[in-house]
Amino acid sequence: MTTSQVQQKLQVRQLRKTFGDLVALEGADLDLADGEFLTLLGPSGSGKTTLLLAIAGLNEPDSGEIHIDGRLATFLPSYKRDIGMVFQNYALFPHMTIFDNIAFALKMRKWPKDRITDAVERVLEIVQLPHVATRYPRQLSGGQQQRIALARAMVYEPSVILMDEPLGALDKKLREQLQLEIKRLHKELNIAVLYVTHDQEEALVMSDRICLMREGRIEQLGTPWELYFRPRTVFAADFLGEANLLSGRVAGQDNGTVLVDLADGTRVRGVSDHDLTIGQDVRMMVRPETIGVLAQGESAENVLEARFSEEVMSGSTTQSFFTIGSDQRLFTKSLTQTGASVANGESLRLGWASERAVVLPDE
Amino acid sequence: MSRTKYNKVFPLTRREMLLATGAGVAVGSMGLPFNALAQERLTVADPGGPFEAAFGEAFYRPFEEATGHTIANTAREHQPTSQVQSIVETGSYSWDVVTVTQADQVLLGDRDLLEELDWSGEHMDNIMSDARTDVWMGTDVYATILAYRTDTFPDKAPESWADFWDVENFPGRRALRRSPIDTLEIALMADGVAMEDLYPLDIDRALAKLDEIREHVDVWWTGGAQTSQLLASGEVDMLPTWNGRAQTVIDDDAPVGILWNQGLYSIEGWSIPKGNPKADLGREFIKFCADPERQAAFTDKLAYGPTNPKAYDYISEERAKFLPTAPDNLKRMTLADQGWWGEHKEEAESRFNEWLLS
Amino acid sequence: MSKNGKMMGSIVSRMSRGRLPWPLMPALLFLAAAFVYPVVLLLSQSVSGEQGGFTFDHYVKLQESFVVGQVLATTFKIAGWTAVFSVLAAYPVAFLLSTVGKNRRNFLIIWVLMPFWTSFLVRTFAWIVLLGRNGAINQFAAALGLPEMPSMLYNFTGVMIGMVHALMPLCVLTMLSVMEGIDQNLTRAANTLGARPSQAFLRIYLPLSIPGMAAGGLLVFITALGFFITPALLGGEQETVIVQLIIFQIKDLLNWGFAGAIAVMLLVVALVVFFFYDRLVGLSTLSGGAMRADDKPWRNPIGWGGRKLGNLIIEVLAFVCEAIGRGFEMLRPTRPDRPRAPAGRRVLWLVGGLILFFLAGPAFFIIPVSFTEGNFLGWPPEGFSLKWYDSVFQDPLWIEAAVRSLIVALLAGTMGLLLGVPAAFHIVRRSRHKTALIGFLVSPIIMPNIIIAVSLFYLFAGIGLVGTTIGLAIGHTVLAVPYVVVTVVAILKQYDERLDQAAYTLGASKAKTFRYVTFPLLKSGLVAAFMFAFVISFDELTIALFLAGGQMTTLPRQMWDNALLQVSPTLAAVATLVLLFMTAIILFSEYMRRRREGA
Repeated sequence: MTTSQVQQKLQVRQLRKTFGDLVALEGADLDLADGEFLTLLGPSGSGKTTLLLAIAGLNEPDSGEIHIDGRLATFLPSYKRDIGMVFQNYALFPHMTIFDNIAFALKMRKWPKDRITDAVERVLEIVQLPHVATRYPRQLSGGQQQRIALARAMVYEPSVILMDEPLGALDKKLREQLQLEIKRLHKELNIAVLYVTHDQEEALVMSDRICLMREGRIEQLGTPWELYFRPRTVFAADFLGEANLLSGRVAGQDNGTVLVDLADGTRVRGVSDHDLTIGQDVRMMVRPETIGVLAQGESAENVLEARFSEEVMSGSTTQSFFTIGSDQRLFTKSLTQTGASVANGESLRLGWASERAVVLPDE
Repeated sequence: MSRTKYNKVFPLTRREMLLATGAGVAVGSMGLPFNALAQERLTVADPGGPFEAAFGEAFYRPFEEATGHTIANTAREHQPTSQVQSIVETGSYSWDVVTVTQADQVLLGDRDLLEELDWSGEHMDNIMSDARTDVWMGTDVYATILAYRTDTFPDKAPESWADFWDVENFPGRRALRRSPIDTLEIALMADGVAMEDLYPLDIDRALAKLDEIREHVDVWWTGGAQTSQLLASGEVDMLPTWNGRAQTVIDDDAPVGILWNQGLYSIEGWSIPKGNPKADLGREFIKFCADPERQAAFTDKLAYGPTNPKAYDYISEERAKFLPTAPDNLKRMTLADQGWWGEHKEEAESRFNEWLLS
Repeated sequence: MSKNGKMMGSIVSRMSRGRLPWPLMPALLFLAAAFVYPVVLLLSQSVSGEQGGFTFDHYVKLQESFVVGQVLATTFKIAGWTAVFSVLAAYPVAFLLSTVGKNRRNFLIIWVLMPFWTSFLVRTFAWIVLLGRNGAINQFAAALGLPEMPSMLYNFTGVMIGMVHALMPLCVLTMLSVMEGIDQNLTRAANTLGARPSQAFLRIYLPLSIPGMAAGGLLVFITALGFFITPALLGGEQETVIVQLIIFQIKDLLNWGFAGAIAVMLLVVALVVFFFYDRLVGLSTLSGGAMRADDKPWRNPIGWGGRKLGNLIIEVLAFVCEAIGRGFEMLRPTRPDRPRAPAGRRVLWLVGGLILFFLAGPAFFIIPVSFTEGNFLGWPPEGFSLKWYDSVFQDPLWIEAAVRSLIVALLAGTMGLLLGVPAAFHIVRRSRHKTALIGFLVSPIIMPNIIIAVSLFYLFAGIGLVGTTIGLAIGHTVLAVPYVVVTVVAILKQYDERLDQAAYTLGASKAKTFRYVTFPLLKSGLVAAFMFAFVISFDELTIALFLAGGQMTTLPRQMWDNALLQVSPTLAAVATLVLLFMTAIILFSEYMRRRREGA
């Protein structure tokens, strides 16, 4: 085994899993470094939970390999893998006290009693619920239960903690609060976390890296910044955050940028990681907040004439909708400002930087 | 099948039935003979099963034709004593006439739950003396006999209850009834007590005799249908049962024989729950059932003996062989004394159970 | 969060503020009128002397009787072992059913229900023919050259086979409805936390499934107390049960006073047993069958002791399983590079399959027998003939009886649900007298049917209900309510009430909450409860004999009637038809369900 492999807490190689005719997972590769927070993101049915369960040993892959902490674990039973798992519905044992819930894994590992007591007390301190040891799960609120589930999964310091949509059942406020809490714990304890969610915002907030999945395949794996600003596919661009996807055709190349003719004839430029040929149908992805309305005389790398159609104010930000040419729609997002509004149908000039415009092959 | 037919001839709602009954009582009290009344419906409870068809042909249909009244028959439960008591005490006469065993009529008669019968008339006079009481007329005679598999005993068939006890010469599986009724008598006869000296039963002696056979009894049966099954399947090779149950198996061509010798016969017959507004009609129906020709008619379908000896004038010799009251059979048997049983049933049951459970 | 808590608290207090326990009232009033009042009237004869006045003579006699004591002991022994074997045998089946997919499960349930549709009479005779000296099993063994088996009939074994077969479906369905509510993620969670499958099962799944075992065991036990035909036909000289003594007193001696005294004693002893049982397994407590650590021994010494013992047993079993697991692993180490054989699953299928075969076997035996040319139930069937079916269809009484039984059973099932479900909700969630209430509500099953039958006859005769369908349905509802209550209590125990409260806080009305939240979650339990109520009525003889009056007949009554001289293959034909009819209904509703869900 090479040294680079040992540093990885988790390695997944060419993992494949089918259910009958349905291919749930198609050759997935994944690495999780020590202390890293990696999120599996994707719509339902994209294979993220299948991948997680395979790693947890709760279903068996058809082929491929899983290494946990450098050891082969593809077909090892769950209880022999050094993992901790947090379930969406918490899966706390309803007939055991909080203490017994957390102590369960330690008992299974045959820890001596006093060590168990110490460890449980310590982990309850960490999740900031030191007084609930004698209670039963049903006596706690949802948020508290989730913290206990977290405590239970990490008390024995496993190599990897797997979390399957752990905040899915909570309301928005509690969710945001716990997101920060999990992030804090992750930082404090420096454990490797593999996190599953279908909520792109949650993924962006929490992750060191995001693994975007689609139909059993890994669509793109990278930092939140990369996925947001340099998506590799239209799907990725669309799934994460909001995006304008303008249709056009490749016109040429210039100094590392791609020239694209939009449907209305305007030539714009953007960056691309793909090999594109001239005349190829493409989409140009521009995030709404990177587009500015140009004042008189102001200029930008890309400029577009657009007719204003409407404006939606949602608190701190305002979305403005435009039409380009006959049918292309485009919107911008900016901090809400007081001032004169624009008349409907009025023509404005919009501008953005080339390095913020990503040219993607059309799907 | 016959029952529904009767229902449909004269379907009555409960309300109409009450009205009709009320009218009947009112008119009856004015001293008119009931024959002059409009059609009435008589609900008759019989043991059901094959009785339904046999009695239907022998009694119900001819009675309807002769009188214009309707008979609606229903199957009663095996031992309808508590139901008769309920009917009388609540005055809810869902049955007008019911068949009860000789033993049960003693029980019910002692509690004054049955109507007196009208014993006048030629046919009534001919009824055998065992089948007559004030409140009950025996209709059919059944017997507890020894039934055995002829294939197990091809050369030497058992000839007495003593042979049932003789496990050396008659090896084979045996069953006895899980009840003191008949079983005590059988044990005493096996022990050498003559048929005519049976009563009062010596329970101690009977139980002592039963001790001898106990370990050789494979099945303690509790119901009649069970005995037919035991015989038909060859589960046991000999057992005491009612002749009708054994007959069912013989009719199915199973290798089974009946030993009439030392048999115990009992009688089942008609009674009327006390206070029944249709009691007069019931009495007429019962009288009708004493007719020897009518009695002969049910023996076609039921292997039970008529209580009017004249009935044998209408029964083939071939069939008579299988009927308990055929003179050849009857003389080899004795009547179970219901007077004794009426007084000692609880004691006997308790002693027997004690013996069985210890 | 605290705001939420307050809100829930206020809802709870608002709901419990009403003085009258109104959800309980229909069931209580119904049983008071149709059970307590008539039965007490009858049983009061046990304390009245021959010339009127008050006497304890019957009870003195009772206490002196060797036979009654002995028979009572036998009755409880039979009922107790039936419950134990039923729970043990039902467990793997229910477990298997709860872990397979919905389609497969509904298919397997048909097998489980088989004994329900073959009338008690046919079922019992089927065992006689199967297990007899010349029966199918011995023939089979002989054909294989095996020695003759020890007799399984006319002894305790025979009684157990017949009773467990008849009553196990009660257990399977009760347990299944509880097991379906157990989150499968819990065992998975235990696995990821380092527990072997055996450990996860023993420490997590088993304790959570206890309410199902407790309720199933209770239903079987009290139902078994009233069984007398099976012990009479399949038992030996020792297997006389208390109902037989009561029937003897009622019918042979017309001594209703002494019969009443025996019945009172049976009820009292059964309720005492129930009280201890409840303390032990906590049927009426809301702890979810859990072994609570914070219980104080003096509050419920039996329960505390039982839990300690239970925990000890689990620890011992866990230790043994762990050792076996380790040993096995030493012989065949787990390989991370190749899939494991699902050995546990295979064993489960094998065991579950065998038990399902035991349940469905007699039914499959009855079908060929119904085509025999012979006049008796026997194996192998002689030739092929449709004459028995012909005789059934020729006789309109069979159809009439079948239709009436169906109507009465549907009525009894529906009324049982309407009365029993609200009562169960109240008992589990609001009541402070749970043990007493459940004890009261199950007493109609403990009370021998013949006592209820005679009592109801007196009641109904006065109000013109004898011989009416509705009268019979009321009589059967008395028996149906207890089954509904126990089944629903069992599932409610592990149902999280906060789901309802969440729905209330979201603005759903009580009715809507029940319709959209509670009902779907409890559905399988309610279906099971209805099924029990239906079957109890469909297979009931004694009450039908009394209340049907002059003309009416029901299927069991018609069968009983037909079996006067012999159990003819007609009954096998009827049983086959009922079996096919019920199975067709289940298959049809399953087909509709799949179509609905597929659409």
